[in-house]
Amino acid sequence: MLILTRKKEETIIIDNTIEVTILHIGKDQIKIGINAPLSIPVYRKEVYDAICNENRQASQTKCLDIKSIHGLFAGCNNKKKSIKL
Amino acid sequence: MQVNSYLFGDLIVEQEKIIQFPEGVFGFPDKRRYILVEKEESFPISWLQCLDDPYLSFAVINPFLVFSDYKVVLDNQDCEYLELNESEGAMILSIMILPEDLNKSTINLQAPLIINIQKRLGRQVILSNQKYPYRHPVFFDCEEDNNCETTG
Repeated sequence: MLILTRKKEETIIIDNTIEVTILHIGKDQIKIGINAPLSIPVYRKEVYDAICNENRQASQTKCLDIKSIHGLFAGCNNKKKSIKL
Repeated sequence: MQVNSYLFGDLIVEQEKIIQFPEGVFGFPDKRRYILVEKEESFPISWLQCLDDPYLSFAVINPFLVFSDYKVVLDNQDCEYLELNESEGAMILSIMILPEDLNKSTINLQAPLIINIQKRLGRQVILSNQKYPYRHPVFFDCEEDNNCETTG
């Protein structure tokens, strides 16, 4: 891993296109600003990993009685629900 | 083209029906071409079948059919990437996990698939402006309602 030391408001540039700037340094966390082209999505790593894992699990649907799905929704598709957060 | 899909057998795919996900979906970055398979008997669940891997498919659903208060706010980057404008609406689908006990099915509300239908262009986004879970139960209300009926 490349390790660079940066102060507040200093920036690194990656591959000519991605700029990462240290905006604020707090006690336990820092705030960074990222300028990247549209084609380069930027995510928090733990969220990214969780969604990758979720997709992998979703892709494991193998043997399935498709007809049973219809009945499953038939009982409750008249009223929509609220999301439980 | 033809794909011998694991779930549906041989599928004849018209070129204009192919949906490109140039980045793939999360966890499958090199699987980029999909078609939407809609089966009457599994409505409202459809299937996103990968054309680059016959074994790869996702159960998907229109999340607004299930949750009335779901909101997707796309940032400008996603809109530009998908070439979406006000006149061209996006199709929004959520990936589901269908376990053996279908009553325990879950829906990924945090990372919906956004598809520009006219351009056949898709991207899975992670919504950061809302705190939606990626594993939300689908049928919780039905169970509660059934309980109500039996106790009432």
